Amino acid sequence: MPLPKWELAAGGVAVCTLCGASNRVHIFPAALLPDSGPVKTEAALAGEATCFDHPSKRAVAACNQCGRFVCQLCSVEFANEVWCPSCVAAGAGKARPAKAETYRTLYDSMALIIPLAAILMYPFMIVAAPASLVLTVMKWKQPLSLVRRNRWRFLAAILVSLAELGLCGAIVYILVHTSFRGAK
Amino acid sequence: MTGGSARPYRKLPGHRRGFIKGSSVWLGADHLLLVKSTRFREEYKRFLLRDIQAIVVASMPRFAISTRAFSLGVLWLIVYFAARNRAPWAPAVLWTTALCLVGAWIYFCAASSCTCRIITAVSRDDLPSLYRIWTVRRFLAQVEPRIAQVQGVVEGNWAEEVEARHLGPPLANVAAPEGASAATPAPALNRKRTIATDIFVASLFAHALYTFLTLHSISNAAQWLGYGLAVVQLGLAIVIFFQYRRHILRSGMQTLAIVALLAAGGGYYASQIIYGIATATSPGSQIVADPKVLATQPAYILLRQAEAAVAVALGIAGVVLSVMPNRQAERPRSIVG
Repeated sequence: MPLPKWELAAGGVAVCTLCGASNRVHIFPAALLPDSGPVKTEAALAGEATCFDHPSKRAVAACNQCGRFVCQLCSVEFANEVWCPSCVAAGAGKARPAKAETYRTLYDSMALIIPLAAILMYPFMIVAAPASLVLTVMKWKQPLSLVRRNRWRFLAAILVSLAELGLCGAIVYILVHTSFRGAK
Repeated sequence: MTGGSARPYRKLPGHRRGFIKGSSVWLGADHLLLVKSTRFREEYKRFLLRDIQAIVVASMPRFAISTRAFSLGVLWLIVYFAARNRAPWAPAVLWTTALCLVGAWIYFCAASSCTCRIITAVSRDDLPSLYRIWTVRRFLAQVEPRIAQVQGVVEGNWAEEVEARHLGPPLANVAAPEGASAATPAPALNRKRTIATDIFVASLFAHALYTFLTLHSISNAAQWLGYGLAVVQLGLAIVIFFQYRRHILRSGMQTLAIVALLAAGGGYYASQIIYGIATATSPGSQIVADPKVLATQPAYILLRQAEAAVAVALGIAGVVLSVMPNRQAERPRSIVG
């Protein structure tokens, strides 16, 4: 958007005419490609396979997920495959490839932060440590981050939680022991 | 390339580490992966190398306190408290160091910072992990050759050609928030109160009343009642977090729950400190603060009065949040969608 307003100078340096900021622009050939324009579909001739959604249009591929024939307009290049719009919209269930993922929940970070945060308010360790252990067991096999590939946070969560449980046990023992001694 | 292979991504220079939010860029086989993390969640956006039209680096001040800078500050504080009385020259040296560090931070933020934006035909995204000039240089040194492998290099005077064409998505797409479209219906309005929030607010008043009634003396039973009340508050706070996460509740109640938990934790720590001071000279002190001992300390009584006042204030805030009209519902919808 702001590029046309800049005074493009030599060496890829541009100065914003609004704020005067110096900008370095690294242009790649994709920027200079001609606009592709609207997709053109061809009418199907007699005997030719037709698109599932557009029966008058010639099919150019089959959806890799559901097998429906798709025309040029309906073919969606997705994760190195051709999908139909319905499968893209539905996420195609379990066949969804990792490349399509737009987010992941980091259960390992969650499992670690719960017992660590409980150290700040340590009476709550008695709730937080078991919660972290349960979360670790339940989510151990869940996929982690796309870019972090190990489970050390889960292991650390287990260690911290066990240590906290031991500490809670000791505190409860001391409290009960002291109460009984006080009652006598 | 997909998530199933052994090492699909290589980390590229630059990493934004905030207290809550973070960001980084990774290089895949045929695309760049922008990772935006919010502690417990990572969001991904992919830019195919063949689709990248431009990378724009704009020099501008960025006064961000990274966790690294924060850690340096904490380290300085630790050294300061440990060394200030060791030598007469220590405070002067430490304060000079602090001034130098702050000066360097201001200089880097003002003079060596930038924003980096990646442009494709359909998107225009900031790369938050790239905010220092030297990091961007290292980033480009790794990324440009990969893009050149896929796209080739631009030859001739590209400046005139770029002037004549429109880079990136149309303006209408830019105005819309990320991930939203004109056809996206307005999200359902979250509720301002649930049964859990009502009980939570009531528990805050109960906490204040309990604190007020046990200000000067406390029995064992009352003590366990206090523990029970704290556990109930914690459980309800967790329920509130989940309800907010599931878009059942508005954010106000979650903030109230966080503040209440922080206040409870802070109060507990302060009571431990007071107990530590009270029993520092007496032999046979216990590991856990005895409320009967604490109840004789003026500082502890003051602390509990403050706790009761905070609980009442939070309770009132909770009531206000519960009955406050939903401004979002009253606000006219934007004419641009």
